[in-house]
Amino acid sequence: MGGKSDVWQGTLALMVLKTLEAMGPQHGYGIARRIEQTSGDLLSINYGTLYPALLKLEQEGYVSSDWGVSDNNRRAKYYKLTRAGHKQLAKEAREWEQTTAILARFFAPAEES
Amino acid sequence: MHIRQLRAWLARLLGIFGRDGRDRELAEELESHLQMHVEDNIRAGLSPGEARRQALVKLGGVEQTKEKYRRQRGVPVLGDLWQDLRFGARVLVKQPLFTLVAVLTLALGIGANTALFSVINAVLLRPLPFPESDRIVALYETFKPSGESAVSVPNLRDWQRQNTVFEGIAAYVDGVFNLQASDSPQRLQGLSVEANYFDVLGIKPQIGRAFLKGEDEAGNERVVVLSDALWRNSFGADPGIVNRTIPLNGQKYTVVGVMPPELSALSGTQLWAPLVFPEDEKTARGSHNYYVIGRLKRGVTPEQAGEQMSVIAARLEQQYREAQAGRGARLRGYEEQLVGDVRQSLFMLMGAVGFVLLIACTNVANLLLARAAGRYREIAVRVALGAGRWRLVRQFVTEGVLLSIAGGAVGVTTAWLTLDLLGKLAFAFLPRSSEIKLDLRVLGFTLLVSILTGIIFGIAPAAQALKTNVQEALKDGGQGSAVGFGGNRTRSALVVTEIAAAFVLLIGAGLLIKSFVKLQSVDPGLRPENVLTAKLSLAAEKYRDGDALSRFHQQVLERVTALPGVEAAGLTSHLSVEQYGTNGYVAVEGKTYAPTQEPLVEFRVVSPDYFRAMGVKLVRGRTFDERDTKDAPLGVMINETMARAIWPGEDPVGKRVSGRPISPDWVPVIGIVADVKNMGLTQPPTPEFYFNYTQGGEGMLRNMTLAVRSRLDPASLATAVRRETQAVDPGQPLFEVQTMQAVLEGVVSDRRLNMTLLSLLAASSLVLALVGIYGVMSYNVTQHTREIGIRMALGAQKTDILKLVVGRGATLALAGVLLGLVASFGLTRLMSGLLFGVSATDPITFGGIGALLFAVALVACYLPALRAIKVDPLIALRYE
Repeated sequence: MGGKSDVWQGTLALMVLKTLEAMGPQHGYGIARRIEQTSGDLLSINYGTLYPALLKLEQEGYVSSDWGVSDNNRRAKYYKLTRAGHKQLAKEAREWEQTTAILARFFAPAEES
Repeated sequence: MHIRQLRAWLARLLGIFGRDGRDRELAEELESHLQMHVEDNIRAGLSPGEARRQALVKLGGVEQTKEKYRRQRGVPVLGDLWQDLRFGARVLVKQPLFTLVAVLTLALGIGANTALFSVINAVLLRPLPFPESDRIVALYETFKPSGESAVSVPNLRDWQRQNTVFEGIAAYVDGVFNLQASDSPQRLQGLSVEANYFDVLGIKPQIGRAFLKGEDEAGNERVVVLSDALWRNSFGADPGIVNRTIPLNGQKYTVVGVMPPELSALSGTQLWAPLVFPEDEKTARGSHNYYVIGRLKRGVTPEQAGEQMSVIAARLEQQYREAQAGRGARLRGYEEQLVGDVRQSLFMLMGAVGFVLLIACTNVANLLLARAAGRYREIAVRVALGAGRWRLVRQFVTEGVLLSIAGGAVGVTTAWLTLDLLGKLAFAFLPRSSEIKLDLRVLGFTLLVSILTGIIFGIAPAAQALKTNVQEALKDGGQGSAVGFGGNRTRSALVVTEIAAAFVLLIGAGLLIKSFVKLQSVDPGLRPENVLTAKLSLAAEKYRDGDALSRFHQQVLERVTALPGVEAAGLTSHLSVEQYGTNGYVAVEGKTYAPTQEPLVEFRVVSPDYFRAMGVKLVRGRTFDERDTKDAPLGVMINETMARAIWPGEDPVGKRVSGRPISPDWVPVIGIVADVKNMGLTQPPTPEFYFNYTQGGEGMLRNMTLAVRSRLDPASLATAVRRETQAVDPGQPLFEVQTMQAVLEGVVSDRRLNMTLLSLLAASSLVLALVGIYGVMSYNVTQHTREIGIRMALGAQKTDILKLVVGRGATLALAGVLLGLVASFGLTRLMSGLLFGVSATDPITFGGIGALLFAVALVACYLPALRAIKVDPLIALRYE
């Protein structure tokens, strides 16, 4: 458990937020499939881990949920981004870019020398 | 961000509740997830079975997901607690009889503890209502032969002048205050105090002022301060009372202030007036008549002050060899002074209720153990399914605490309902008893006791749950032998403990009962039947000298004696048995004693008919009669103890003595009367003198008790006696009008209360212990039904089975009695001060109670044993 899963949890949350922004309201299964597709099937997530992550986001107020009907007429719980979620996504995306940019600098000179 | 986190935590906290609905919602969400996944898989060409399997694998298991989800939803520890509580409550509700018995048992234990603790809290723990009350001390003189004594005025003045450790020292004494109320005269309980008395206490009046410097000098003293209670009850809480005068002792006294209510709660004192020392006492170093309190300077400890007082006293002893020989000075906390010697009995009772709680705990622990044994398979299954053992322990402890808090709630309610009764009736004689109430400290105490109790008796079954051998329990056909035997050992230990505790309580009660019976059979030396007593306090303002006093007394006696039905009426300065006299050394003609080795003798003033009225026998010589007038030669009467002590083998009649309160001249003994228990029922009589009320002892004539022997019911005389007294002086109240029987009962009332309470506690502990041993033996028989069946099938006789079962119980009972014996031996010594005529290790009480408890315990085992021999071997063998 511990730190490793936290990092993963954090990243997963960011992916969920980004997915919801791109797709609009979506149910858990849809979000999971979409994340896998987007990653070009490089990422294989345990779908079960998604639900606690969604619950956490909901508790923090970044997403809200409602029961709705799916494309093939099945009752499903739909998640959508709240206004706070939009803001949080923007903020985290910025931070993420910064982090990757910083890391990129560490790796780039290594290639040069 | 912080707010977000807070919000998330709040959501999680709320997530603890409403679990069922959310669980259903999650199940539904996961099911819809699976369905969609399965459909996709089928569309991808998988068989329906394989499609579902893969969807499940991808999800990572439904139950696992739910568990992770739950962890995120609530706060795990709190969530578990909530679950434990709900589960525990459900278990308790499902077994109402078990719960009822357990809660009532605990309510008894906790309620008794709460009630007694609230008494101790009010009387001993709560600080006195004075600022920095720990700086207030009581000062007194010590006197080698007889212990403590009050203080004389010259000594008081020397203490006040020479000390450097007190902010102030003030003397006070009971005063005579007769209020001329509109309908009838009323005797008030009042103190005469030095002007700085209230400064020493540090208390300010709620209205008006306290006494001014100089108001305790002759000519300025006609002022009073009222208590809150008197102000409310007799003056309608009149806010304009200050500067008004009230008729007191035939004079007009100006009210200068009213003290706050706290003081009324502390003592029954109704008013205070300035203390003016009589001229003759200002130089009489040997006249010890006053009580003294002092306030320590800040930073001075009582020990330091005590040392300085000893130094001062030693100096005074050097300086005034005659008056001060053998006299010292000492101090104690004022609180201790007010509360007196109730500490020992309160602590004894607190110990007793502690034992009752211990027994209640062991009983409930036994109940829980028996129930846990019935649940051992449930426990084994839960352990096998991965329940943490720690979690199981917590489940048991939670159930225990739930029970004990329920018991505590019932107990507190009962205590609260009975507290008024306890304060007003049972403990009314205690100082500060009006303050007995449930305050936060008492409630905190009860809560603490309840929780600790729950943990203590919850631990036994929990420990057993920890020991559960899962494999054994699951494979063994249901006779969980591991649990059975281990549990039996714990149960046996519990039964031994409670029998021992009950034994200790029974011994305590037995010793008190025996003391009380001994006390009741003490011959007080008088015949209390058909005697009415009443007290009279005559004010110095009205009755200035001995002549005025004895004239009043004489008239009252004549009138009362003339009442129909009256056989004899007499007066005494100190009512026999109830009040102690005053004492002093006497010189005996023809005998010489070393200084301080002279006979120390009690003095009482009586009227001639007192002995006849009280039924005290004349042994030799004569009693006082009309010959013994003021101008006739003095004569004294003595008791038998004095006759034996001073004139062994001689006839004392006609021998002569002299001493301070009688006369500096030789005075002959004119008669000897039988001994009366002059120092109280528990003490042997001491040498005693009586002299006639017309012949002096002026200082003693102010407070007299009337004793009237009649042929009628003495209580019916009260009105007539009051009428005759007021015919002599309409302003003179009679008080404490009661039969001599009631006086004697009052003397032993605190012992009676101790005995009654301890007996009640011991009786309830006995019942609890019997229920305990009965329960365990019944359980044993049930557990061993199969064993009993086998024995009987193999030819064991019913008597063998009976012996087997009763024998096991007897072993436990014996162990309990022996343990109790050892414990009592240590504990009863602590209560030796409460005993009379019986030693703390009285072999008869110990042996008798031991045999009784053992016998009763055997009966408790016999009933389950009877059940055992009715066992049908055929059924028993199939019994699970």
